[in-house]
Amino acid sequence: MTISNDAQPEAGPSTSGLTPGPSPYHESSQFRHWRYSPSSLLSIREELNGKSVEIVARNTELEKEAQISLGHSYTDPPPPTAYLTVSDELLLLRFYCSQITQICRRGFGLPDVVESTAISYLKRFYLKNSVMEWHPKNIMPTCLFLAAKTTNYPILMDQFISKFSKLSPDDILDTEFLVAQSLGFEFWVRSPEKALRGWSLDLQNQPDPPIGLIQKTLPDALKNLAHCLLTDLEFIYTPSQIGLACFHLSNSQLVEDYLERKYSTESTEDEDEVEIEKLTFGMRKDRLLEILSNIEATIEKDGQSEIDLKKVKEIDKRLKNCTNPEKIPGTALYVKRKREKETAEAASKAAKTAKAAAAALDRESVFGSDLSIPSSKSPALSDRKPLSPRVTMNGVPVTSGITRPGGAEVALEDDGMGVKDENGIVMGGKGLRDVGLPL
Amino acid sequence: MDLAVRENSQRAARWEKGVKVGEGTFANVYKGIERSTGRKVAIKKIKAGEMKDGLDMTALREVKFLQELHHPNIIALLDVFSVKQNINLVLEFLDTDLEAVIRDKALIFQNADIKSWIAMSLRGLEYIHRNGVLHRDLKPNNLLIASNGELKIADFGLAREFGDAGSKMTCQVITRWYRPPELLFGSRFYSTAVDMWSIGTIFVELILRVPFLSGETDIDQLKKTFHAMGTPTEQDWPGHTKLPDYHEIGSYPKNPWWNMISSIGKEGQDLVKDMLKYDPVARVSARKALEHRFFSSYPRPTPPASLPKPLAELRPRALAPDETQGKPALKSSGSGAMKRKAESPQPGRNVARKLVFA
Repeated sequence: MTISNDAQPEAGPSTSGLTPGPSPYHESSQFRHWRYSPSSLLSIREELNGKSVEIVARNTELEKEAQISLGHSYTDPPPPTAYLTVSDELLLLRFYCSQITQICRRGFGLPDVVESTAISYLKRFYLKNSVMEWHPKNIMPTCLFLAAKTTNYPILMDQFISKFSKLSPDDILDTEFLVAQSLGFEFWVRSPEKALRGWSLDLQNQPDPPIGLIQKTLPDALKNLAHCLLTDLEFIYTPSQIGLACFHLSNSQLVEDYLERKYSTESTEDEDEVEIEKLTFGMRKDRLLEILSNIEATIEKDGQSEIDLKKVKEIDKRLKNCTNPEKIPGTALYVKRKREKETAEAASKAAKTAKAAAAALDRESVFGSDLSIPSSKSPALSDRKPLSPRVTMNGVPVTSGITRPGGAEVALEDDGMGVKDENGIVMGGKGLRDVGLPL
Repeated sequence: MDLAVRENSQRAARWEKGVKVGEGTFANVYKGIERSTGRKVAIKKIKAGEMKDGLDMTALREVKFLQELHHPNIIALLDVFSVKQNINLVLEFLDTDLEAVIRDKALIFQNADIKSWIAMSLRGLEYIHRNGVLHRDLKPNNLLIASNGELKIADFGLAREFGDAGSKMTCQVITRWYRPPELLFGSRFYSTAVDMWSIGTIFVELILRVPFLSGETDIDQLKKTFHAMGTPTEQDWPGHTKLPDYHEIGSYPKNPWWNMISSIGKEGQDLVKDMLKYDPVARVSARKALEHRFFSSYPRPTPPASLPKPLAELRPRALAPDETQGKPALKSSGSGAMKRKAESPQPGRNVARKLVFA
């Protein structure tokens, strides 16, 4: 998946030469937020990798202390050379991308759009997170589960989970939100497949079209497209450029004849005189061909090469020792962080409770009720139960004690609307009745 | 801290959540303010915590499409952030909706007003269709009205892309009164024409001030449709008898039903007839409809700011009046329980489907 940053052009919204003008694609979140130059991709990954190494090193140290404080023996953290490099991370990522294809095709028989979307999600996730923080073996199924939903082929959790031997529903649910968040809640991925199929129609849209040849080339072009999924191309080029390159790689003559005709009939004037935007495909032909050949070089270099499974295993083994202990359930640090979080949440809840109680007292005083609460009897506010509103699902109270990953256990008051203190005064109640609506 | 988490908390800090103004099964709606500008916004908090199948599909759809669609006649999604396991959508703040306007008997509509609302709906819809998306739930209470009178299409919880040849779509979409006959006959391959039928029925509703075809069941919906406009023949609608759920529904004669909307004028009647063609292939597209003579002929559409608006301050009210008044909820059937569930969570779809203000 590595792309050397010298040979590649800087492609992105900033290069006006690549922008053929406003189209639905140019308004898409993919164009606005997920386009990079090869060099910026590299620097993002280097930065993420560097930061994770730091965090992992620090937390490993903390984990050691925590273990020792618990009286456990502890082996020393790995030497710095054991940490994954950017290219290690990419190889592992590429391996798990290829796994998605396997699962989609053999496991579920899902359409291509789910497969390509899930792979894009996985790749986008690791532009925001490092492999050393979140192991792709856990993130990959989540990306697939989410992609199936966003592309209209939802799979029931039970059914989904049955295809993975070592996975529980919680593994998915725990990370689904994180994945959605890392994607910036941008779920629509513009796949080059539609573009490729569009080209196959456009190629027929010329006098005396070589229909037989187009039909023969299409399956091979689709195969090239599958290789594209394992590369960074989607971050650098537009779907239509990638789609056309897949055709060009399968049969360059077919595409070049088509382009020749297209450019000679549509831009008759001297090209230097014409504004870029008015040119066929928004750019000169030699520029387009240069882009196509760059894409093809990447497909051949990164997409088609075999994944070195031995190397993948070796990296995975090393990864076991340099995963952020904070993120591994069961480690002392994980337990510690979870407890800290719970304490913090309890504190913020107590603060809210205090505020609500104060507001309730305030309300009473407005109406001049002669409440006299002996200050000595007033309990410490933090001792009170949280004033959780009643949570109902279609009128059925939700059972209390819901635990969601990342959140403390929420005690839900069954009688809902407020809590009585020992003087029998209802505090903080009514909330929902005041603002809620009959539904 | 994870990069994604940090980005999220930066986004969350931009908005201040205010009082709750609506509550439903899958979302609560709050008033809100942009801290830097003081601009009013609506914050729709989607409950995501308890779902066995993870993030709710209706919510995912809504987010997916609103992230991509940017048009003056489509509700603007300003931001998305999360607090714990809840997704919060920051939406532009809108005062009311077309349903409330239609029901307010104190308001009198002129033809120019109706023209303006239909034009704005069609502009938004043309953009949606141009982007390869079907809305699949157009009805007056999903057409929101901003304080400056601009109409905005909202609620993309049932939307999806179209155009993948051979991919089946569910026919259990669009609230029954606005649902076209091809969906009632169980068509699984359909296109933008379904939304155009909805606009056609909304058009008539704006003229009559009551829903045009208000069936109590799916069968009744077909009956009412054919009763009003005549039972389609093979000539009107080639191939419709081959649709999966086709059954004969009486044989009602064809009357000049458009006489009941003669007040809109000949051009308007013409456009409505084009929108309510039985044959989806012959039905006018949003783009073609915008080029219709209706919009270029006298009177000119009313400028949004001068359109009639309910004067009384809006009171809190039920979020989905259609369900309580016997208007159909989307029905579930067949396989793919989860998808269907997303489209119709419960018999009475008590979902905060729009903004309601205290």
